[in-house]
Amino acid sequence: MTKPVPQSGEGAPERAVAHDIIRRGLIGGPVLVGVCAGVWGFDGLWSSGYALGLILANFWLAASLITWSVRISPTMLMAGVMGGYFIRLGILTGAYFLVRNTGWFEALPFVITLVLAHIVLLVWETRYVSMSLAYPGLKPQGAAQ
Amino acid sequence: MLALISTILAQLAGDGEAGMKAIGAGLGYGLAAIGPGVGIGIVVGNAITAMARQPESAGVARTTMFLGIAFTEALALIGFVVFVLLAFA
Repeated sequence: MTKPVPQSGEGAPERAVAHDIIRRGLIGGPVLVGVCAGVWGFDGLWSSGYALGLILANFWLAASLITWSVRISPTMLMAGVMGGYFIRLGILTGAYFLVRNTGWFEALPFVITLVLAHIVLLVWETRYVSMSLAYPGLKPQGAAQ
Repeated sequence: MLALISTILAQLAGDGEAGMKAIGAGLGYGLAAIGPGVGIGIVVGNAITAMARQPESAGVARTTMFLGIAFTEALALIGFVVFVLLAFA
């Protein structure tokens, strides 16, 4: 008999991955924000920090939606992921329109941080996930995956 | 077809260049969101199949699915960036 994976939010693998990404983002993100601050000054600092916050919130929200919907049913998982995708894109667009006319906002550091942080954090995390999938004995104690 | 619609909408908007720019940006964002939408559907669909076939490996399937969704979503983010740069920067 197969043993199903716990469906509660505590042991959810996607939430563990998202927490890991957020932790790495809080460690590595300030470097990117610092570079943007060096080039664009305080406007770059705020805009880049805002984009980094949006990306980390985006990961957290994506994981939370999957954890919530997978507990209900596979159909709900499909609906939750697809609906969540549009909701998160909407939040991102709304967050941009909310600040675009403010004095401190700079579009270039915002978009650079948005894309770079997303891709770099994902690649960084994927390296570790791939390693723990390939060599399960090496994964850290207490890790969900 | 899309170019024709863009031209008509830009003329309706009155201000030729600005209208065209805004419509192009909007269309670009919309089109850029379609591909990741299809991709996410494929990723989740296959993850559900994997979880149904092998419930004991659901954890691995969910981890891989989450990363797959995030990678696919990067394309939509790039579309958003192009939209921002075209329309307002």
